[in-house]
Amino acid sequence: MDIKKILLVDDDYDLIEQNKLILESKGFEVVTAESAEEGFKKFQEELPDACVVDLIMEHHDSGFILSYKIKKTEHGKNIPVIILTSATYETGYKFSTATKEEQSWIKSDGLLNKPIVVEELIAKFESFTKKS
Amino acid sequence: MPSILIIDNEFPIRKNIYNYFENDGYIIQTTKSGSEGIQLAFSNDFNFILIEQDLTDHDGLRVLQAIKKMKPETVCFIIAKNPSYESAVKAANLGACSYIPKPLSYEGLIFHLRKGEKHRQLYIEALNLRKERHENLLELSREKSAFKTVLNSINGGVLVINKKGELVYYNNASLVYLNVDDLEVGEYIIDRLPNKIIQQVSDYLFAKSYIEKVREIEVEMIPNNKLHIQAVCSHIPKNSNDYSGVILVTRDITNKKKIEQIKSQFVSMVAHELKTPLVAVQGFLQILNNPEIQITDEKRDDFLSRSSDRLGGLFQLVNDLLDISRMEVEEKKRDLENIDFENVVKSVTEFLELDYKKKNITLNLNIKDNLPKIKAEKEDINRLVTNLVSNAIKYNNENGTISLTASSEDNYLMFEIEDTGIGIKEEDKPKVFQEFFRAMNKETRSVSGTGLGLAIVKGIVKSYHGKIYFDSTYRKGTKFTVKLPISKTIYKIKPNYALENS
Repeated sequence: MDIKKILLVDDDYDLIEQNKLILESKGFEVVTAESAEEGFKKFQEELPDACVVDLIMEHHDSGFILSYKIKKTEHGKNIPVIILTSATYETGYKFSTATKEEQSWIKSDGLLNKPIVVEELIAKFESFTKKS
Repeated sequence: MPSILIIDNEFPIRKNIYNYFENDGYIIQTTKSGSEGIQLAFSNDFNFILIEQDLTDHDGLRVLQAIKKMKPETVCFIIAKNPSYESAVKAANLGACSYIPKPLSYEGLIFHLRKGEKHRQLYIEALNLRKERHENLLELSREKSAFKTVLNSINGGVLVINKKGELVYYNNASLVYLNVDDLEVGEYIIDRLPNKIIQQVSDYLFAKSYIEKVREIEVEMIPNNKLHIQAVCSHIPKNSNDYSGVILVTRDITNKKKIEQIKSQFVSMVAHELKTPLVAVQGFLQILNNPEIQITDEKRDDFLSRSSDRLGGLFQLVNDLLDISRMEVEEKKRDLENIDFENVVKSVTEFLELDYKKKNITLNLNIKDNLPKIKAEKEDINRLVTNLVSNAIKYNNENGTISLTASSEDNYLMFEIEDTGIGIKEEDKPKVFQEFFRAMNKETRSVSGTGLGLAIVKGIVKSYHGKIYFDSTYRKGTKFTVKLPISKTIYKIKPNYALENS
């Protein structure tokens, strides 16, 4: 599957703008959302070929929950959903506020560190396309 | 000098015996009455007592019984005019040394007295031995109870297992720390220990030879931070390469674990908060440096100014952290000035206007006229008010209200800030001013922060000898009250009128 349209979800407007510019320079079409809620709405409207979701938005685990929600949809299960974060295992960040049920939802195609390195992102897309 | 009491109703007998032994150096008393005999026996310490079986006033065996009961060490003989087998057995059972049939001969009596003397010595020896044994037992039980007291007073669990895996000693603390209901000395203990401890204890219990190393592990005994213990296992040495048992020492480390968690939570929080603006700035720089991305000059200036804003925020966070650590170290040196509190409140609320308007929060200001000034460093008071107001916004609901009241009371300036927000849960109340503490629940998940705001506020209030307290109802709102001293009145020393008048 060819990836053309990407949904970018992040509550930090600076990062949305940056990532949008970077991805557009690589020829992708980018749609954006500033919250998990808006992100899911945009996902349903736009049916993008890939999603890049910030981890910590309204909640510490909003990104996880949104990816899970996307992955559960008919369209979502066939596209890569990549979580972007500056909180990583190195910083010891624990998703302590996620309930057990929420944690069991947590599922995505990969975690990427901020800031986006566009080559890494494209590599993730490619490995997903190969798998499917 | 040995003494003899003769109880016999026949005068000749009394006289004869008296005559026999007087010359041998015995002290002799005689009586014909059983009752008198008993009294004499009680009030004196006779070595020997001879009792006629058939006294006129008493049964001799009864007299024997009475005397033996009171003075068991006295050697008694029954002399019998009418001896019978039954009486002899009865007398022996009552503790008579001999049963001597009449008539009495000097030789016969001498023989019996010698036998009696031996009897008496044996008795005394036995008595001493018994006393000694009793004392030893007493000492032993004292030692045992002292050991038990010590064991139970130790601030930690101690549990000793022999090589067969049987429980030898334990104290009550070990029951609590190992989370077991009851243990019995002597029982096979391994199966009774919690799973998490078994491996550690087994390694020692089934070791081929003496292990010099002590091993400690930390175990969460009751989940959700209810009980963390440290368990330390070691061998009790028998000789250089054998051991006689295993000792398991347990300690409650729940609080230490909680602090560790708070610290690591804080570190990851700070790391994330520091990383976020850095990522944004780095992203802008990458775009500005990327020849593939074409942007207008206007956009370029916008990116530079936004980078600068993000760095400004970063500085603020670093300053917060520094303030916190500085407050812990020492009281800082300050330039105090007279501060108009109303001005501070107004400038802070203006500064935060965008934030509360965004949530459609109504702000009520109620500042009394002619508020006295306070002596403080402006930056501190500014920070104090900013943190409280910004919390009242952050933790408020949309369309909520914030009421700010400032007045003076006694020597204090009183500042109250009340919100209609999510409030504070009872269990979180004691931790509100704790550094790094942030209430974690559904309502606060969306609120970001370092957990330093109120810790800084408390630090500032304390440094000006003020007071801060709060009242909060969960889901209803919170009211913080701050009292700051207006100014230190300087009391002049009163002239001593008494001296002046004289």
